[in-house]
Amino acid sequence: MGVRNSARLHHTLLKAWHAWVAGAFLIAYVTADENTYAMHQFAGYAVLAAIVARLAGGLLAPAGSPLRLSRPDPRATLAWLSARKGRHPLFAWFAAALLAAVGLAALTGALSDGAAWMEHPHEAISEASLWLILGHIAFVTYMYAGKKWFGRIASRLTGLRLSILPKETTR
Amino acid sequence: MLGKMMIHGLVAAILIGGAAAVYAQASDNGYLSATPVQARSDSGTATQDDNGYLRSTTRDGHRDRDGRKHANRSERHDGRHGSNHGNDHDNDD
Repeated sequence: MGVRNSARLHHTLLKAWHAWVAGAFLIAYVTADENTYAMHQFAGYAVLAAIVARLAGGLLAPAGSPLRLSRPDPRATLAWLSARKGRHPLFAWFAAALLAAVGLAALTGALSDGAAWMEHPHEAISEASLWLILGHIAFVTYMYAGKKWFGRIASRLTGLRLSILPKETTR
Repeated sequence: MLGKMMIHGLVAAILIGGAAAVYAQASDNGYLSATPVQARSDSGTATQDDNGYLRSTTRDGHRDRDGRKHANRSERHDGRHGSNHGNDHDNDD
C-alpha cells in the first residue's frame, strides 16, 4: 500500500516537474527578446532550477522509482531492435538528450549574464533543443496516439479500396 | 494522457509567465535593484522636470534593461542611440 502510494506520488512529482520545465522553456523561448529580457531571465532560471531539481531527484530517488534517471544503453537498443519487445529505447535516449540540451541552454544563458561571448552558444543550443523538443513531442504522440490514428487511416483506406475494386473489375 | 500533459504544461507556462511578468515589472520599477533610493530620486526629478515628455524616464529604462543584459549588446544599443552616433557618421564618410 505504502509502496503504491509512494510510486503514485513520484509519478505526480514527475508530471509536475514535466509541466514546470515545459512551461518555463516555453516562456523563456517566447520572451527571448531584448524588450522582454527580465521575463526571459526569470523563465530561464526556472528552467535551470528544474533541471537541477530533476538531476538531484534522479540521484536521490530509490531504485525502481519513476524519478530515477533512465540511462540510454546501446546494447539494450540493439537488443530491442532485434526483438521489438519492451519499452522503446528512444524514450531513454530522448530523455537524456533533452536533459543535456535544455540544461546546457539554461546554463549557458545564466553564464552569458557574466560572459557576453556565451550568448551565441546559448542561442545555438536553445534552437537545437527546440528541435529536440519537437522531435520528442512527435515521437511521444506517435507512440501513444499515432499508432491508433495510423491504424484507423489504414483500415479506412483498405475499406475504400475494397469499395472501389468491384467497380473497376466490372468495367 | 497526452492532452492532459499539454494542458498541465500550458497551465505551468501561464503561472511562470505571470510570475515572470511580475518580476519584470518589479525590476523595472526599481523594487529589485540594489539602489532603490536612487531609482526613486530619479523618478522624483522626472516628475519635477515634467514638461509632458517621457525623455528622462525612458532613457533610464533602456539603460537598466541593457545594462542587466550582455555587455556588447548594451554597447551596440548605446552606439545606435547614444553619444557614438557621430562616430558612426565618421566611419561612413
